[in-house]
Amino acid sequence: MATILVIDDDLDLLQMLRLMLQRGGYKVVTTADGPDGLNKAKILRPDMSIVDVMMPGMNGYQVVRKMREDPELARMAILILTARAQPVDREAAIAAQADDYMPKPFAPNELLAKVNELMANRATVPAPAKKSMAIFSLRGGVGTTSIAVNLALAYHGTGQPTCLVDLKPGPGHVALQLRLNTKTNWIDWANGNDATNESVFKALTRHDSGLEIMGSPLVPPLNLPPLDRVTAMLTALQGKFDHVVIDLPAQWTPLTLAALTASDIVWLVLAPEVGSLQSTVGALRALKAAKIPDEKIELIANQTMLKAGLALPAMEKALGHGFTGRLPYDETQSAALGQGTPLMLSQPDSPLAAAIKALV
Amino acid sequence: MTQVGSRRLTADIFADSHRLSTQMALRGRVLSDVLNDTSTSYLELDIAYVSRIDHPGEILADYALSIVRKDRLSFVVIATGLEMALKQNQATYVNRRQWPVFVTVPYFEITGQIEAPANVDLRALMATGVERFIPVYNGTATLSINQSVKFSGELILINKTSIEVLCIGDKSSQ
Repeated sequence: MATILVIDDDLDLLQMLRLMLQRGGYKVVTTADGPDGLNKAKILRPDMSIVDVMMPGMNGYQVVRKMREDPELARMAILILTARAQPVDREAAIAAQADDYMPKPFAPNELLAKVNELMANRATVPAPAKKSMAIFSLRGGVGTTSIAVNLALAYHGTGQPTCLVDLKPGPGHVALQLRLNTKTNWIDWANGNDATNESVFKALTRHDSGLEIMGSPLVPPLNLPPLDRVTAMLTALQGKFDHVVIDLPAQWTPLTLAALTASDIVWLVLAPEVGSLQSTVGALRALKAAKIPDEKIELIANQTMLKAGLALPAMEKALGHGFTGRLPYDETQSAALGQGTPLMLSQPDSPLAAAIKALV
Repeated sequence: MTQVGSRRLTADIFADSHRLSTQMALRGRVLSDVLNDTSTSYLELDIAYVSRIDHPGEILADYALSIVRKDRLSFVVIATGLEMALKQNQATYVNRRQWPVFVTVPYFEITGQIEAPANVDLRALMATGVERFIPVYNGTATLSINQSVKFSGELILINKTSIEVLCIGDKSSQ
């Protein structure tokens, strides 16, 4: 799902834009001032930004110029939306390196058509933005590994080089779900003497699908390797692959925090049951205390059981956080786990695989 | 079609050498009444975005509070939002019609339509005793020294004291 960042100091208009764009199928992040918008853009690397011009402190042209100075945001589509509606203002928007300009007031359909057009143009430009995603929960058994495996395969299926890291210090299930014998694992690499990027890439195991895997050890070590080696490994992988998906242990440890900090997006996974809800409240508080930006966190509701469980709107209310993704119960998942063939490969049109693909 | 935009009126205010863009909360009044209000000589703005006339698209700076001397304004362009800028026409015994108009103020020439009696009296029109600002509908202000710079709007309110030349009627081609 493409992400659009909207920066406008008119809060009513911001809310209207959010609803309009969400109905159009986009994930929307909003902010009311330019510096915060720049910060969010750097963290989230959205697919598009819609920027107002008349904002106090830092005007929209200044925001756009700053965005264009950042190589990570060079491919992002930018639409200027402003009440300064004169031909000279259009010229100023283009001079600031916005992709297009739309005067206020505007018709909702016209804005959505313009956004769709810019997104389509952007899709024709090569070199996708690099993103690394941590899949995390403080509650075991909510399906983080299945989600990580299928998400990585979904990215790989779009033709974008992708790596899946099983960052469990003990026996993780990534290799099991893919029926893969990993030649080495991240603990062995991090305890080794060779810290070069090449040595990281050599430690990867390639799945038949082409997906590259950094495996976890079968036997957990008594002492974990230094965190700077883990960070260096993730940095090397982020430099080589367009997408790095990290399956994290269900524990709050320095290792977990290092991976969460190094990731662009955190998928916080929960199931609709009380224990999972409680763990997620704790996880959100821990993430906040660790100063992980809220914009990085996306809640994913995974319907792991046949019975409905807690109502999602009630969970959203309790968490004070909306769900970015809702993954349905899929009866074919247990068979896929048993056969070692993830749904993304064996049944890409199954409800679960389709829901994960829709979030890519 | 429903339009989405701010509830504030966006106005471009032109003095001789600068453009000020602002969004005004008029609190139930219309802009022309505020401008023509003789009880105050000033127009206070919440936030103003200042541009120079020679680079009118570039924002030089923005200021949280500004005050403008009404008698030193040349004109104000309202791109959209006529209902927030001018009261609807009221019934009158006088037969009124739309006249094409050509006006010059310092650095700008303005064209559009004004509403005036069929037997228009230009001297009476220019008298500043009643209303200081003349409304020009569907107006375009063109920078005289660079005609590619134009500002258009549903309404342009021109300060009569800034007017150098006012011509009405259909122009003949030359």
